[in-house]
Amino acid sequence: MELRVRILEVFNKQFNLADAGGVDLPFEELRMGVIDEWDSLGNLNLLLAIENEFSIRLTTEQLSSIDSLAQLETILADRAK
Amino acid sequence: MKPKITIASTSFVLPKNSAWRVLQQLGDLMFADYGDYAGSFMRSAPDETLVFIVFVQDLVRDGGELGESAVEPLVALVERRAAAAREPTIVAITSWRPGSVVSNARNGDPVSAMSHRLWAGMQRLRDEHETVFAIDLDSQLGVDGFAKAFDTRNWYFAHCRLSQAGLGIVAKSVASVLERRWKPSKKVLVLDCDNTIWGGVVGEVGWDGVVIGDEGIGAAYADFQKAAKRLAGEGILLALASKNDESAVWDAFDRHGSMVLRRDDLVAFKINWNDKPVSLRELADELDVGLEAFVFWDDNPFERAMVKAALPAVEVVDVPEDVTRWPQLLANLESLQAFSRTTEDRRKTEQYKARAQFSRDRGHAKDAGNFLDSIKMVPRLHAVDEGTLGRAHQLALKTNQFNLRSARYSREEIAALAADPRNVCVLASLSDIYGDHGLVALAICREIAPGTAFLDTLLMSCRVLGRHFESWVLASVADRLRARGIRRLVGEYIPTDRNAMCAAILPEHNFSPLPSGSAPPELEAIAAPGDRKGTRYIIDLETEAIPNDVAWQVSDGADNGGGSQGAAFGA
Repeated sequence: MELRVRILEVFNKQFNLADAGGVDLPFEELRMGVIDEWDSLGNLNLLLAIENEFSIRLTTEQLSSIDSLAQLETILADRAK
Repeated sequence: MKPKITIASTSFVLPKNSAWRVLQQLGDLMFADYGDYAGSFMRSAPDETLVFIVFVQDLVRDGGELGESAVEPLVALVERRAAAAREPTIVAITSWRPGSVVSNARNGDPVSAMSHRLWAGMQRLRDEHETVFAIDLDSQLGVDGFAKAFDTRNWYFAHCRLSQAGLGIVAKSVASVLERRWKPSKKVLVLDCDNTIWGGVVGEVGWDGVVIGDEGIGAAYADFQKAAKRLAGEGILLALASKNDESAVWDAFDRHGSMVLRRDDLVAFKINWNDKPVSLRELADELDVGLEAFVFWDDNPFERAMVKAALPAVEVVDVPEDVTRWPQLLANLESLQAFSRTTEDRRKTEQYKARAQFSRDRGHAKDAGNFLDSIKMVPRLHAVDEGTLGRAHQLALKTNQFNLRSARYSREEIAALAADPRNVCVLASLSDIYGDHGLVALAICREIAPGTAFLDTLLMSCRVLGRHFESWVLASVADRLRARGIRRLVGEYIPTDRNAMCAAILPEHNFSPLPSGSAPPELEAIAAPGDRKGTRYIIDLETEAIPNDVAWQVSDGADNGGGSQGAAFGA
């Protein structure tokens, strides 16, 4: 759960949602397109911010395939093991 | 209103990336479309800031032929904009590219050839235009290594050459330049002594036991002192805040042969057992400089934390433990850097020391009026011309306390005001037994209707406060106006959060509140800078005198503020 909180924090910061209290959707449904700003450029900026926050590096393959917070959670959880 | 900042680049720089946040705090950020930097130059308004990030490797055409022909159009774009722009054009250049040592050892390298051309062009443009800035990004991107700043993955994925870290460095570099453009640098550097300007605790090891000298860590302390001394030479005020017995510190200063700093380099010091925040506050009072102009350097994290908590306005440097990194860090501390220094800046240490002496003497004097008569003050007017324009601009930009309207004119605007023969635009200098204070006041009067002038600017450096110099300046300006047949002078006080000290200046000099409805229509057209509300006053120069009772000494040099100021710029 702590992982989700951290991911959401980065997400809210990237899309300036912190003041609004985030997006009113379940975590599992947060994927590219749910808000206007989360387009392909927004997605890349989000992934780079995640890399920065978690000190990880995603592959080019991952940069093109990840487009949801749930996928990010899986990858980050795997890395933590 | 937030300034508008447009960012254009030769490749993609990820708009809305979190790295740009540091610039977002300074203005409304816009990004040019990818590949359309020329378009953003064409569309940019003169009052917006344009940032152009150039990756020289982007200019090399496929096949690697020398792409020098690609450089001239870039320089031309910048030049065309600079001719009209009032706000900065910042060209941030990185010439880094992967390369083969062996191949480049004998052959021409297109990127380095283009880089030289581009820099030559930028050098010329920044000499010609005050609004052009060029940033050598490589000096910053290289600090942690280009491998960390550039990212081939981002290039192939999004045509962005930089990593997240690299973008952050670019954003921060641009922000440093803009911050300095919009805000003056810090003024005072406060240093601790033990384990800061020398190694060891002088109270324990004695003056001859402190570590400073030619070798090893002692050389690092000596270089640190050299960096501080160089800053002092450029006008940064040095002060000490040390928990010590005073005599122990002065023994080290006076007797240790390797000390670089001398007592003379210091404008003030607090050597006692008080907490550092107490000492810093006392230093601010003594120098009459706000704490927001202070930088504090102390090796002790406990002292730093205490100052950070008690005095959030003070910039506390996060000092690394490794002393060998200090000399460079201090020498390049952005908050103490300026684009250029005037001769006035360099003489600051003397001036602040003299000022502290003036305050002490005045405190001891029995009669304030007699005291002022006794210090032999010699005032003089000077034209605003090529030679003094820089100082006039600096005063307009930096004077916060004694400033009636706080209009922040650009250099070009002041030049235009001074060149207009309808205006009276003068600088004033003052010297007395405490020294030559230099050019310390600026007055601009604009004739707004026949026989009526508007006191657009009246400001005075706080280093000559308490001398009634403002009275002399006002009276002299009034004489000038009378000589031109101007009878009425309208003045205005616009309060800011810093200039309360001049709230009563106009009434004290026989100005009366401007009766409502009596203002000439030309006056209505004059807006207060920054949309603030001002109070207007008027004086009839034929019937009212401006009080000015101090026994001023006559200057021996000819008054060169002459009426020929309109010609000073060779109009």
